[in-house]
Amino acid sequence: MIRNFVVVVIGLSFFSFILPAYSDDAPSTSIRTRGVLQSVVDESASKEAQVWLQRIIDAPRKHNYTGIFVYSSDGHMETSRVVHMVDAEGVFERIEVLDGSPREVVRNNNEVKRYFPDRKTLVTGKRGLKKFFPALLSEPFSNINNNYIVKKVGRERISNRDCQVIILESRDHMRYSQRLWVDVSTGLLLKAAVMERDQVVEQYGFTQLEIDGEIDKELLTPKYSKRDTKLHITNPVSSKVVKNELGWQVENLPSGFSKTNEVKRVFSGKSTPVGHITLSDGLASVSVFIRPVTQNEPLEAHEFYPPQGAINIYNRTVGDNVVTIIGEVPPVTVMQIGNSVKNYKVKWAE
Amino acid sequence: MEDKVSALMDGELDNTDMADTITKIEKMEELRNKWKTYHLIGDALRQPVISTSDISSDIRSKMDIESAVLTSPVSSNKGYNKEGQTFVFAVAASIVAAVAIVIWMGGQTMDQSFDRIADKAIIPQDEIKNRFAESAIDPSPVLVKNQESKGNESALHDSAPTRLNDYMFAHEEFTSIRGVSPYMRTVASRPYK
Repeated sequence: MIRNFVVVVIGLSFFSFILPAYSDDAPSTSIRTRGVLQSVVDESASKEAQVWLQRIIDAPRKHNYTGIFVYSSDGHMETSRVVHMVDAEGVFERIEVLDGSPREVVRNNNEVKRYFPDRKTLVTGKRGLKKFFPALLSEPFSNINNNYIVKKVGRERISNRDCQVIILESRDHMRYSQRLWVDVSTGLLLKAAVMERDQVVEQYGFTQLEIDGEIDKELLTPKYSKRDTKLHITNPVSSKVVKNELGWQVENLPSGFSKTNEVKRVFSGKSTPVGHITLSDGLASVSVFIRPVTQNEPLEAHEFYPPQGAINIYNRTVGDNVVTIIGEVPPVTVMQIGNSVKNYKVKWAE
Repeated sequence: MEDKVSALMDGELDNTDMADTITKIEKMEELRNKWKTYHLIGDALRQPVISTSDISSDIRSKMDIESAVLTSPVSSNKGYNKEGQTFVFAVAASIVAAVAIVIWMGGQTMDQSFDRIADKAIIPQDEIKNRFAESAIDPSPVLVKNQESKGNESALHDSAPTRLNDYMFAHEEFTSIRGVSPYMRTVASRPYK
């Protein structure tokens, strides 16, 4: 692939140099030709970058790893330990936060358990919607060029490993850019930064990593369930995929975003289902939650909640419903989406 | 033109563009609204990320120190709200925002008197917008409150954090390229309390 790309680039560079000399109107043709050739080169570079993106997606299903990664955003930094194992039975993972209040996520294929021992809470989740994950990750890049300029840039060393740097530069202000560092030999993502122009919104990166070593299964065992048998267990989500049944739609989608799913969810301890519409631009995802106002669940107190890293949250009241938008997109995007959510089955008195 | 307004906010326009954009903002109501909205968003979001640490004691001690400072200039400024309450916000809204966040995070750790102070500190959204309009002073961070919840202060103590956590977990399934693990953010981001 790399060899083909080099040949294409050299070939195109050669023609871009030669062609103007044989042209009647050399200067303008030269500019036009260079423009066309440049776009071909860009496209080729973009396609190669997308091959790297695919490697990022495939790698966790092929490699074991253990390591320490650091997350930072808004001046906050946190260290976590991850153990990830793949075998014939599937994918197993345990992530443990090492700073601040203890938290732990343990994944056993489609089953996910989140432990919050300081609150004596265990949140369990069954990934019944298999089409979301990991199938969702199989083709997220179909329209990525419409919304991002995908660039393969230089090599950098992360956690003592050689990494290829990929940049996904947003084409407008409705989405963040991303900078990714991909391990050259395995395709594992070793560092990722969400960018707004030249500012880092949030960042993850391994500081220590061992790939493809033997994994002791004991390391995948939840730490807190053993210690604390009095965990309050909640299963927050039961879901049902519905197709255009919710009666809600986003009328003014930000450019490049489209609806990917429509789900009816019942959260733990709540009797009323919540509508959940998901949107994506091929990379960034946004969730639209719609819930009716009830006596037990009154109106939201706020329009904006403080962001969590790149995730912004916006609330709006529509008739007797509260619409909540959550997505790893800029605040202006969640606001535009929230402000255009409409129920097309009910005519609101406005 | 919206891009220009956004760029102007970020200080990215050259002098010519800046003058041109400012003129257009002055003339066009729609752009003026955008300008205000962008400020509203920016200010609401320039708050610290939620912390799981108990900062209530810090806030209390700050309140003790700041309360005297906050009230003194109010009475001398007739241009502001008669009760002076909103000017308190304008003078030191960062303290207010911090209090509001703490309350929203879960007032259960605070005593009632502290709750009362904090409830007063939360400013209705329309009031903030009006203040933006009447004051050239760049407003300080604030937790924006929905007009619809006016009079329902208990909404601040409802199950919103629990619901947000539920939503965050549900949304997590769709986060496409977290690469190594889609749960990195789950553990990294602190749950709403």
